Amino acid sequence: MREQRLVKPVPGPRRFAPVAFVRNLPFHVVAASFSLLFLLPLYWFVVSTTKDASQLYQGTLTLGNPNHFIHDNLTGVFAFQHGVFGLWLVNSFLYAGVGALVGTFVAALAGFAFRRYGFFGKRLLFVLILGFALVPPFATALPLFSIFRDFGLLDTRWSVLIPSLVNVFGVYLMVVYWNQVPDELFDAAMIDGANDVTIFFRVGLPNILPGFTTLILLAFVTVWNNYFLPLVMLSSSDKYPLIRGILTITSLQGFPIYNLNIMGAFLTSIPLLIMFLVMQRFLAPQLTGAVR
Amino acid sequence: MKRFSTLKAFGFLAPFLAIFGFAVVYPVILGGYLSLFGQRGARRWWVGLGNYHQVITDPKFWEGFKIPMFLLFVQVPFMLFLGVVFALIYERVRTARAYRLIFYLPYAFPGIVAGLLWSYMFSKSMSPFLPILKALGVQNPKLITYPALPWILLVIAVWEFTGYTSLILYATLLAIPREYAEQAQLDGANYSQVVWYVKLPMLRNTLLLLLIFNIIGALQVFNEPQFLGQLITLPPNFTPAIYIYNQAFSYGAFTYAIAMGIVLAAIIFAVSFFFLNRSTRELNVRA
Repeated sequence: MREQRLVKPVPGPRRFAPVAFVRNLPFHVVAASFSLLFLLPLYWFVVSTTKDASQLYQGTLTLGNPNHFIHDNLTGVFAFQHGVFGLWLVNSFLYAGVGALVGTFVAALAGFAFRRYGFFGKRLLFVLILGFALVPPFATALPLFSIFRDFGLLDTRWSVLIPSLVNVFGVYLMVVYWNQVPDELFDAAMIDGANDVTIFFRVGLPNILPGFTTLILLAFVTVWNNYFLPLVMLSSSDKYPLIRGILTITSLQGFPIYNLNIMGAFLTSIPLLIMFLVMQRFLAPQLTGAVR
Repeated sequence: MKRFSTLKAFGFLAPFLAIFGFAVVYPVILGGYLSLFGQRGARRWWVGLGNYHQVITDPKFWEGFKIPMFLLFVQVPFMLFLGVVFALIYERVRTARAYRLIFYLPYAFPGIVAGLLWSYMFSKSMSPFLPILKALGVQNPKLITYPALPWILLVIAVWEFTGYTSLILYATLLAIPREYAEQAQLDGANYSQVVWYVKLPMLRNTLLLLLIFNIIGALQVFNEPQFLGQLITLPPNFTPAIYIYNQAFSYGAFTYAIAMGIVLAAIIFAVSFFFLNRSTRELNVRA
């Protein structure tokens, strides 16, 4: 129910008038100058991927001439220590991909339990889960280190993979998503004779798919960017993810190789940029109208 | 219709609880237990609360809070101010979609990469700013120095998180009923008065929430200085989180590091609850 508008609406972003542009000019000036500032590092980043070390040292803002993007930098990164970069790439996709898929699915199951059933200790469990989730990662990573050492899992891919499956934020959001699915939908399926597992897969999941996809992407980014966990758990270079590996691109004397560092960081960021663009589409999860 | 079935519920919960128990609950409990021991290398002995006493009286631990405090009192207020300005611009300007994207873009990059970019851009060898400074007549310019480190972190953090901050604030602005601003304008308020008396008060709770997020973040700074460490030797207690890592893995005082982690976690909890409690109390008063 909207009230009748008695007042002319505030000149907002929706309507166009040349007058508005002039009046908003100060806003444009502020926003445009900050835009330049915010874009400068990214511009420098892209330009720098085309330079070798000596070109970097000149401190210019132009493209490298000759252009070293492919030869020297790209080939150099992949040739570093007999191609260990390729392994980092695979590891990153393994940790982030498996962590996001399995973690989100597990969170969906847990969220469904909170949505669909009353059960003993429900409130307490939810509060406990959220409470433990507030414990910062560096407080859990050290004890986890000693647990994995006792299990003989230290410096294995499991030691990064298993903690990456925990997605408490995902459980919380899943409860929110599940709450958007009307009860009638589940009840109707139940009356039709579907059991609980069938209801989850055939009725539930399709209805929260946009949210589910968003959570997978968010979890992927989180695991991909997690530096502290692999830093603590892994000591052999061939198991590193990219985010850990790029900090170890040094010469034999231990000096950083700047142009390869930059290229490594660039390649680490590209999947995230793709995720970012994809996520624009999914950021507004909506319930498809199954119930009218 | 909710159905009461503890068995079925825990069937669905089982996978999550198994992983959560193993990777979060058990480590927290074990951490509490281990923090009661002293350790050097493989040797371990009972010290009771001795580690905690040592943490409280360890000046190097508390020195590490200089960076979080600087971020909290300088960077965060500046960023929140900038975030409000950006959010108002998004609300006001037609072409704001492009601005939103540009300001948010840095948030798509990991903290490690943000650290690399700014560290290198300020470095003595690669900085694009140095030729400009030289042209301006500055003798032997140097941007990465010890006194400048907090400011470099400020630049990194502002660059990384302002876009995100402004989007959250923008969402709150959009939720304000238009009638409020219309009414104020009808009563003769100009734009800046509408902002000051109508919009900013409505942003209060969101700003408080953002403040809590930023406190939590500032107390845990670890990733952004990593590449900075390539260019300048950082003290081992540059931030609390870095000190914890160094105590555990460089000095071999593993259980002491765990105790420090718990103290830091307790501080984070305390600060968050202090602010959360305040904000909810205010909400109750208004309701």
